[in-house]
Amino acid sequence: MTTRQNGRPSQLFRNLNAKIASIPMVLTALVVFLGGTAWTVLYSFTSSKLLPRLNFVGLDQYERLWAAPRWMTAIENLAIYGFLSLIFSLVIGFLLAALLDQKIRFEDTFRTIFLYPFALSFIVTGLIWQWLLNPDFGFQGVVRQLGWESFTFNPLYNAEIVIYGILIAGLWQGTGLVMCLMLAGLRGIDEDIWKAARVDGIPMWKTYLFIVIPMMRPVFITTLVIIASGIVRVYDLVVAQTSGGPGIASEVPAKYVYDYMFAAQNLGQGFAASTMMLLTVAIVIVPWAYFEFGRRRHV
Amino acid sequence: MRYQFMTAAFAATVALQFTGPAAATDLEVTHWWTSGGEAAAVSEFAKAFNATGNKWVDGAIAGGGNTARPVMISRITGGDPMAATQFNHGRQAEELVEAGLMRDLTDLATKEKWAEIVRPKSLLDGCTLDGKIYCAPINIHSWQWLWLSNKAFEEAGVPVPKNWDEFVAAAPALEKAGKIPLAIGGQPWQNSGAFNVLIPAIAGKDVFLKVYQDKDAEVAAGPEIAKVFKAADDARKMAAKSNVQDWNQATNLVITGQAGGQIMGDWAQGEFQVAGQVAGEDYTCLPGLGVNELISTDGDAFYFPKLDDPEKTKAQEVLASTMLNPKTQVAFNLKKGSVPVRADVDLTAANDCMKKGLDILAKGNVIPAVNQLNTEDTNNQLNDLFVEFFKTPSMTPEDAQKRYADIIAAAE
Amino acid sequence: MSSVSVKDLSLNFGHISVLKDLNLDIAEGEFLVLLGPSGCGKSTLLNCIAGLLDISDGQIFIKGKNVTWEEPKDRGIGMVFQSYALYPQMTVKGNLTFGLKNAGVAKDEIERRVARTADILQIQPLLERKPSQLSGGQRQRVAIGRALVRDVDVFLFDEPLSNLDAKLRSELRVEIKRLHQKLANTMIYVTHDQIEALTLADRIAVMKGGLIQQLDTPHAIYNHPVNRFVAGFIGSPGMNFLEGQLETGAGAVVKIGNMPVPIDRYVFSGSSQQHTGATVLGIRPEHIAFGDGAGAMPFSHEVDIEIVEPMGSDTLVWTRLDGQSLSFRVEAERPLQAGDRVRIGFDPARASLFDSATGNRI
Repeated sequence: MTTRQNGRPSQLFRNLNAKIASIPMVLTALVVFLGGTAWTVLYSFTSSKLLPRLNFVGLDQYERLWAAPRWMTAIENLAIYGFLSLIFSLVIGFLLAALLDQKIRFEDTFRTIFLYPFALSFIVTGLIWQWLLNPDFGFQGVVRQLGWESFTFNPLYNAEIVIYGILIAGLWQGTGLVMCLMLAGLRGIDEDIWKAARVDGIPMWKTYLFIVIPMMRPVFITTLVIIASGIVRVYDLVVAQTSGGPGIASEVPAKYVYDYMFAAQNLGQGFAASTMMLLTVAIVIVPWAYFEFGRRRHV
Repeated sequence: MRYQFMTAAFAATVALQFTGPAAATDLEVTHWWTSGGEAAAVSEFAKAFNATGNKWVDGAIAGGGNTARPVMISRITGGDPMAATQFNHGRQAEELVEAGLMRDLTDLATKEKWAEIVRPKSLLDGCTLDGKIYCAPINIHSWQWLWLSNKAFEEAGVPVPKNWDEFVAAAPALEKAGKIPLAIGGQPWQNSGAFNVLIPAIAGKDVFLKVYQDKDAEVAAGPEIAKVFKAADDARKMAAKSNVQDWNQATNLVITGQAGGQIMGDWAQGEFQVAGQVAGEDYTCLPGLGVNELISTDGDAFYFPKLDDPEKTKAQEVLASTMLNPKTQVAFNLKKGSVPVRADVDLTAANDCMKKGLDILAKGNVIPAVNQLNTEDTNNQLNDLFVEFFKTPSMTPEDAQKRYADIIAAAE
Repeated sequence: MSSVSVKDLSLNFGHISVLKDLNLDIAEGEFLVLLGPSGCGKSTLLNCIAGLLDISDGQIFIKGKNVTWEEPKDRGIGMVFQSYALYPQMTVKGNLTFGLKNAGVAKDEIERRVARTADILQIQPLLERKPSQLSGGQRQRVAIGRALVRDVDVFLFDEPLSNLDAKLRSELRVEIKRLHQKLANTMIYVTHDQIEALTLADRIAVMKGGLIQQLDTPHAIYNHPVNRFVAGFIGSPGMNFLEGQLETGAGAVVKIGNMPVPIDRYVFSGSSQQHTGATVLGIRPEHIAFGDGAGAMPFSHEVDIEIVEPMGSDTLVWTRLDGQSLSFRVEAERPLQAGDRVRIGFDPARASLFDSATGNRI
């Protein structure tokens, strides 16, 4: 069984120890991730309320989902938050890393300061920024006390721009990590490249833009994935900072899923929403994966 | 001889330990009563239960019902049930009962004659499924109250309003005096709650029942409800500057005179009490918004999840019984600001507002609680609609009414 | 006018003095090699000349112009690095032209220079490839090309061959020599490999500890090293060092143990340092005669062979003189074995005497 005719051990049993050791993880991935996902998608076609029940109702949940203004607002908010979060995180994170890379004094101190917010949970972050953006005793209040009576900075109570208030909090929390990843990437750049560019007379900013950043492509991709996963998940930040308010102006899909699954005791609707979230992620990931790994690899 | 006597006496005393009150059992009780007044009230239950020789292990969950209920349900469905848990009167635990996760209290109910002492009967009906009783109603709260700060109106230079229309008329004066006319917290249930109060007040009991009991979408789209939406529009304008989240923070605005009034259930009384304010002197209460004196039979009931431990199961009965006994009912409800479920108790200690409520209850001017009529799903959709309506000035009452009618049409 | 001139250059990192009061004049078209062990400051000096490091004191002149505070791009230099430092995301052509385009050079001028450089370095077929698709030797040529297109007077090389294997190294070494003959630019070349120094340089600056030990032609450094360090650093196999005592007077000798080595033919360096006593006599293995020729030498002796190392082209033989290790070279055909007793000798005129204490040449 384990040996073929010529006596060489079969492929299946090679590296047996490693394969056995990886069984728990493989099972977890199959059962929990794949299995759980399949179960959720299946039940999103039912009318489950508090407890899961197999009464199929076809696409009813999805119809209701896409007719709900709260869901539309949530999707819109996620798009705005996601797009801006990505861009600003990368840009600000890279700028900070570039600044820190200048062999300045106290680099460790600065790095720690920038990274501190990342150690905070989203709940704490949301609460802090709720207080900071409070019109009476936050930024607006303090500046007004200093004399500028007409200064207004009250995003959290304005339905049009509340998502930007959440964006500020999210950026404050996450940019530190991006900065550290970028810094690590920058450190990996051969010193001689900088020297060569300097001798060639290339100005700093062009060196960064045309030489260094293209060299850092793997780091950017990793960072992108990390940021993106944080964006899709955004929930606790919204809950802590605005509870989805004012009204439903700062709703996000993850919150919609949670609220419908548990508070509204409507599992079916929650499952439909979370299936939609999965679909969105898949639509982005699949083409990218094909682009990265599908083509003939040439260096 | 002497030794025999000593031994016997010793054995007797030891035996006495075990024949006394049942060995003290710990029961974990979950609820969402975390405001000052609520906490004072629930400690009365704890005191009473501890006096029976058992131990009340408090499981308060902060954040209001919408945060607490998912936690409670998760624990019950997840196989780690608490010994007793609060829910509101109504359909919140419906599916749990249907799934057989709650224990049957029918024997206890029959023994203590709940059917005779609990009034109105609709409360027990909400606990009954297939003829079996699954929960113990412990109070009656009503939503239909307008709480006004005497100090705020004094400072604005207008007399305290006696009904909703006078209140709306007094709003400009309040604003000029730098007050927030109507205080409403940001949480969605407060906004839909306020709307649901406006329905019986402005459109009357029949319309209320047609919409929520019969789920009549035509009435929901009709002219009577349109009037309610207009009143809601007024309320929206008056609450525009209201910047707080929790219901008790809004009550606090009224207590401190920063706001003119709040539409809130009579559980707000607990806050006024804790702040040491006196009904009639510091604050005024208008049941039914002073228009139609109707009150709903909202309130809380305790459900008891099925447990494996026989000692704890026995103790659950002791707890249920304690909660309904007359002394506890009085102690708890006075602090909570609600009305006891039994009529045969001494309520001379009740304040003005509570007495008004008792009066209306005695006259039978009650409407069922919205929670008893709607599923959580429908309620959640209404929450969504009204929190959006109140916070989005650009949303017209007509558009809102259209969506309202759709929700009612789809409601189960 | 010298092409590159360094006056009193000092460089300190905090309290540590890396380069001390260096003076260097490089003629036009000269190939100067900075040679030394790791940490001697040769790369640092090169980076200072290039303008990549700010100096603490002193001045630098390139073609008569004071460039002490100029940016590298304004110094008229091109530089080639040990790790090639090619821009990995650009093609070879892109690498060559990026700097020029940035400087605003006209398109046809760029094309002309690229064509010329590609021709000189034989890299035309590589122009559209990316650096990752090139071999080590090709990459180094492109790196040299990048300096060439700049149309500058001075080329700086920072250990360019150190990353290559031995065979490639010798091939490219010849190419660099050919390049220098063809272009006749001033070239400053840093290396730790003394073979490269000897073969390529017009003059070598041997450095140690931030100071130039000797600045001279390869021939002078090889035959008249100015101190023991230089003597031991240059030449492979290395010079033999024998401890002894110097006795001046009528028949000046260096006594190695009990053997007197007559040094009347030795040319003293004429330094005023007073010294008698402990001396080191240095003699290169190839300057030691063997067998019949040994007897004719002013000094000869019989020794026992300890180890025989055949090296292909010739054989290195190890023996002892007065207990001190000594090596000498013989033709590969000689049949020698450990234990053989042979006669060796040398002419002290070809030796170098160093003071034991200071290491300086006597």
